Order: sequence, then structure tokens, then C-alpha cells
Amino acid sequence: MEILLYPPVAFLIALSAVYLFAAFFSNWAPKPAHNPEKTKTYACGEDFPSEKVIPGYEEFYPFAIFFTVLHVAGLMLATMAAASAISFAVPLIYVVLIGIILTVLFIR
Amino acid sequence: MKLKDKIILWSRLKSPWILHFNTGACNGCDIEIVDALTPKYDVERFGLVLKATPRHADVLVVSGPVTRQQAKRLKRIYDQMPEPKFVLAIGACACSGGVFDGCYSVVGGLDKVIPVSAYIPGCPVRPEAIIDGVVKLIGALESGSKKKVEAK
Repeated sequence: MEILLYPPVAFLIALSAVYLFAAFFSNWAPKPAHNPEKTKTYACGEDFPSEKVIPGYEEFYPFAIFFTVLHVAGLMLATMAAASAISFAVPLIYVVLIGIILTVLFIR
Repeated sequence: MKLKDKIILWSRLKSPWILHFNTGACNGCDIEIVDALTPKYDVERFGLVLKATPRHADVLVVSGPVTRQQAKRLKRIYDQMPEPKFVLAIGACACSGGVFDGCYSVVGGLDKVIPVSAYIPGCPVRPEAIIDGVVKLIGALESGSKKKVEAK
């Protein structure tokens, strides 16, 4: 029964339960009268033209990469075992390397 | 009546969420609508909640005569509401155009643009009258639903 507690299994169970719940109760909802206004933006009755928004990711990627590098370092430090030499050395070497790289980057 | 229909009817009767819209009123009826929502008259004890969007509303509460400028906007808001939906005409102007009926800029009463479920006359309408109208609408919905289901 412990397999039910594994995150992927629990996620699939929760997803299935929510889907079944939604499918069952959506039959209870009244059938809507199709009207083009129902999918338009509400703007207090005004005919507001909808615009497609395409977000730009150029500013997001530097933050994402920086976060990933430091987050991995944090996880490695958090999960290292001080008693084992190999387990102790690898995260520290990684953090030192990151420190050197960031120092070079920021000094330049 | 099946259990499913009973549950649906019960949930609709116990929580009729409203959207208030002014189609050119002098604001007298708007003030009385707001009064009805305050704790002194407390129309919220019937499950009414004032919402800011027609997507969440079951009942459209309209005050004022329908001006020519507002007619298409009112129709648009009514179309954006999900079914089942109901309309309350608050005040003499919404019921029939009131003192503005026949003016060049006024279409007339609310029923000239959208179907109306209940008329609550007054100038301005008293909060007690609004509560009475709401209760009668809920009662009519209950008896109407039961008749519809029994006729199947």
C-alpha cells in the first residue's frame, strides 16, 4: 500500500479522481444556450476587442538558469552526508566552482 | 422529482447571486438596492450575493429606463450570463420607462430589450419591496421548477 504514497502514483490517483468528479457533475449543469457573447471579454457591456497576448521569455531565461544553478547547489548541500567523504566533497566542489564562476562573471 | 433535480433546485434557490446594472437611472433605485444589501434589511439572508461579473450571476437586477445608449450594452450583459438566468426590473423606470417613457433618448421599460422575470415598482422602490419581490421570485422559481419537472 506504500506505493500509493509515491508522488507519481498519488498524482495520477488525484488527477483521475478530479476528472471523474468533474465529468460526473458536469452532467448536472444545464446545457448552455450558445451565444458568441459568452466567450467575449466582459467590459461592463462594452464591445471590447480581445487581443492575443504572446509573452516574451527573453528576460525570463537568465533568471531561470541562475536559479537552477543555485538551486541544485542548495539541494546538493542539503542532501549531503557529512560522514561520507565522497558525499561531502562533491557538493562542496560544486559550490566552490559556482562561486568562482559567479565571481568571474560579476567582476567582469 | 428525482434527488438530483431536488439538489439542483435547492442549490439554485438558496444562492441566487445577483449582478446590478444601471441603464440610465437617477440612482435613487440604486441606493435602495444597496440599502437592501446592508445589514438593516439584509437581503443577503436569502443567499443573495452581489457579484461584479455576469459570469457568476444568476439574477440581473436592473434599475432605470433603458436608454438608447445602454440598450445594446444591457443585451450584451444579459447574453453573457449563464443559464438559467432571471431578470428583476427595479423601479417604475425599469418596469415601464417611468417618467422618461416616450423620451427621444429612451427605449422604454426593461422588457423592450430583455425578458423580465419580476417587476418591482416604486420611485424609488423601497428595500422592503425589493425583499418582497426577491422572495416571490424565489417562490415562483420553486413552484415553476416543480411544475416543469412533474410535467415530464
